[in-house]
Parts: sequence; C-alpha cells; structure tokens
Amino acid sequence: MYSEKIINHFKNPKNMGKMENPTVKARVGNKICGDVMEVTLKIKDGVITDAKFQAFGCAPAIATCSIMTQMIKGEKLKEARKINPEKIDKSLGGLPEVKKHCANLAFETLEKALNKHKQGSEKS
Amino acid sequence: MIYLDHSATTPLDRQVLDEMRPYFEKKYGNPSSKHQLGEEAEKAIEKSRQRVADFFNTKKDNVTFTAGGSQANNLALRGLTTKIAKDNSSANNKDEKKPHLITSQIEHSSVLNTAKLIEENGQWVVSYLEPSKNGLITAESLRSEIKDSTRVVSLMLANNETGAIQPISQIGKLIEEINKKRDSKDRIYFHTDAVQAIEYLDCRLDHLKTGMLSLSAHKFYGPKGAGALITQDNTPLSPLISGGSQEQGLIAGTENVPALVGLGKAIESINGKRKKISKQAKKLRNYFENQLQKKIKDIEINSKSVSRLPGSSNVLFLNAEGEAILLSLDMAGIAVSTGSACASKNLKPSRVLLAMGVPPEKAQSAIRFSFGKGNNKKQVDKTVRELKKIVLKLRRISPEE
Repeated sequence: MYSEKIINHFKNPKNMGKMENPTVKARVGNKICGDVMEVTLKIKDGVITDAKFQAFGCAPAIATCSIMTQMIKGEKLKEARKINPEKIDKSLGGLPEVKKHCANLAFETLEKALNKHKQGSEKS
Repeated sequence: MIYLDHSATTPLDRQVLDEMRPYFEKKYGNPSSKHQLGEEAEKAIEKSRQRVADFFNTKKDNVTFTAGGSQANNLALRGLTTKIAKDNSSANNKDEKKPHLITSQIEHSSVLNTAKLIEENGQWVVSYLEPSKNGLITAESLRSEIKDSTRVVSLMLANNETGAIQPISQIGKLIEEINKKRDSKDRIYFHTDAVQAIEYLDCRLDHLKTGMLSLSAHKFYGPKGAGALITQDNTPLSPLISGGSQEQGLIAGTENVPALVGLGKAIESINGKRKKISKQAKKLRNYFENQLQKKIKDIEINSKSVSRLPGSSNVLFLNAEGEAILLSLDMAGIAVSTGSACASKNLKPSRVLLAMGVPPEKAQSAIRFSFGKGNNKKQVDKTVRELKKIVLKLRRISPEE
C-alpha cells in the first residue's frame, strides 16, 4: 500500500521529539481521521536551525511530518514558505489517494508555525 | 506469519480442500444438467445440504445455499420484507400502517446497509437499536421498540468486532410470547446473523428461538463464496436472485459446486468439537489479555465484562493509532485488524465502538485480535513482545495532551 520512502519514514522518523525552548510551536488536529500533528521550530536570523515533530496518526501521518521537518531544517524561512502538500507528497514517492490529506495536514502544521512566528516578530 | 485475524477469514482446512478438489477437476457438471455428470454434481450439493441440515437438526428444505454471509443476510431481509409488503398490498390493507423492521447499530454492514436501503424504498419503517456500553442489544431495549406494526427483527448472534454474544434466546423467547398473542398473519419474523458464531455456540434454531439464521463457510475453515440461510418451515421469502429454479427460486444461478461441497464438509467437521475448539481459543485469548494487562499500560478491552466469543479480543491502545499499530505488526509478520478511521475507506472509526459510546479518539486506537486453530502460546508471547515495543514507540511519537 505504501511506498518504500513512506515505510522508511514511518519505521525511522526523522526529527521526532520535543525541543527545549522552541522559537515557535504549532499543533493541528484533523477531525476527519483523528490525526494530530505538532511541530516545534528553532529560528535564528531568518533560518530554521532546528525542527522537531510529534504526531498521533497513521503511518503516512508520521511520514509526512518526518519528511516535512527534513525539508525545512537548515533552510531560510523564505525557502520553507515554498513547501506545499504536493511537494511533500512527491518527495515521499506519492501517497495513496485516501491518504493525501496527511500531506495537507503536515503542510498546515508548518504554515501555522510560520504564520505564528511572523505575527510574533511583527509585534516586536 | 502469525495470523490473528480469524474473524476476517480462516485458512481452508486440508480435508475440506480434498473434498472440494474433484468438483474443480473431473466432476465439473452443472447440477441442473440431466446427464450423469450433472447428476453427480447435484448429488454432491444435496449431500452437502444434508450435512448442513443435520448440523442444525432441521430438514433439507430449510437450508438455502447462498454465495456467502452477506448474500444470506440480504436474502433474509429483502426476501422477508418484499414478501410481507407484497402480501399486505394484495390483502388490500389501505389503512394499514407501514410495516416495521427492527435491527441494531452493531450489525454487520450487509444487514445494516440493506436495512437502510429497505427504509429508503419507502415501504417499511426501520428502527436501529443502540447497544449498551459493553456492546449488547438487550431484550428490554427491543421490547420497548416493538410496535403492533413490527413484522421483522434482525439481530446478530455475536458481534464481529467485539465478539460480544447477544442474548438471542432471550430475545427469541420475548418474540415468541408476543407472537402467541397475535394473529399468525401478523407474526414477527426473527432473523439472526450467526456468521461469527458457528464454530463456538449452539446455533440450532430451536435453541436460539430464532426463525432464520445466516452463516458463511470461510469463517470456519471452509471456502469463500459459500454460505447459507437456515429457516423454519414455511418462512415466506421473495427471491433475491431471480432466474432459474435453483434453491427453490430464491437464489437462482448455477451453483458453486466445489464451494458448497466445502461448506458441507467444513460444517460437519465442527460436530462434536465445539467445546474443544472454544476451550483452546479461550485459553489463548485469556492468556493474551492477561499478558497485555501486565506488560502494557493504558489499555482497555472492549466488551470484557460480557460473554464474548472465545477467540475475540478488541483492545484500545490509548495514545497509539490503530493503523500505525496494524502496519507495525504487519511488518513484524503479525496479521490483525483495526477499527481505526485511518484504516477505513471512509475515514470514520469503527461505528460499532462509537455506538457503544467509545470516544472517537479512543476508537482510533482499536485493534481486533481473533484467535483460531493455528495459534499457540509462543505466537501470543511474540505478539505481546512486539506490541509492547510498537506501542511504546508510537506513544513517544505522539504529542502529549
């Protein structure tokens, strides 16, 4: 059912865990299938120096978070903004139709974190 | 492969396969043909029918072969409701209320979805009884739902997800009492889907006090594609599959001879072994649940407080998602089933668990284990070991509340 990449990210998720003193944290839940995703980012001088995730959900839910954090770690915020669900889906070798919403959810979690950070820096 | 999904299907028994084989190879006749080859095939299915009749202590006429459990359930519900509606309209009862069918929210989809379609057709009113927290449909809840217009009740003998055994004899007795006070033309017909229970429980119609019973061969080491509806004398049914005169015109079409032969052999093999089969399954299931409770915290076992099929175990592993557990077990060579939304095509968690009042976030972590003939203690030990690792890992990945 799942590509080798999805299985690998499920078996050995990258950047899984919690961060001490993150710059920003965001959590998103999907009531459709009950997945919950949380991402914490460390941002310094406009660069995402560290990214971690936690997720409650099926194998592709964990895999999309894992690869998403991999894609943004070390990147400038501007670059991270370019990530979208299709890119996440593609980099995993393609999700089954019924699981495409997992890529959407991972993207929403990232977007929420980035927006939160933007609002925070606009305030200060 | 450690196979713990016997509620989904069972491996074909060797002896059953041997009995079926000639009907794939040399004895390929159509039972309706009037030559030797055809008559040989006809004899084979009638022998099978006799075996099924003997198992239920009933007449051959009361055994209707179908293509499986879903078709048997369809024959029961559609067959009855069509016939009754037809009889009502020909009796010219213009003032009559629409007849009433009662079923439950925990039924197999072949009963539930069929009931919904019957309701949509507009000639019947349908009620869906709610289960108790531990997954039972009680006689009391049925009693309060029965109206003068009630003509059909369909309630399963044992639930396929939780294994919870329903009080069918008690319900059957209640219906009998009501029928005594009614004109026979207004009597209630009682059907039970016994598909999960044939190997374990006494399914004779007089014992269950039911008038109709569905079964499916592939749940008891027989082939897929063969089932039956067992009925009492003179049960009024309209054809489900119209065409030729096979199965008294109810299920037309050339019979699946090898599969029906297999069904007869498989059901006969249960004779005299029910207690032993039940004992073995129960021992493993209970040992499994004891080990789980010892080794993994934050788990809940559904329907534990009621009688369940001896091999069934439906467990919630809180804060670990069902599909992820299933996939991880699969990668470790262990086959199970889940009630998680992520694993279903419609992305909704088990409607049976939700109907029992299990909160959706908990229902997401449901795994169904169903033990059978091929299982042993060593497999249970390995499964518990793997589960412990898997659940711990998934809980670590999961965000805290």
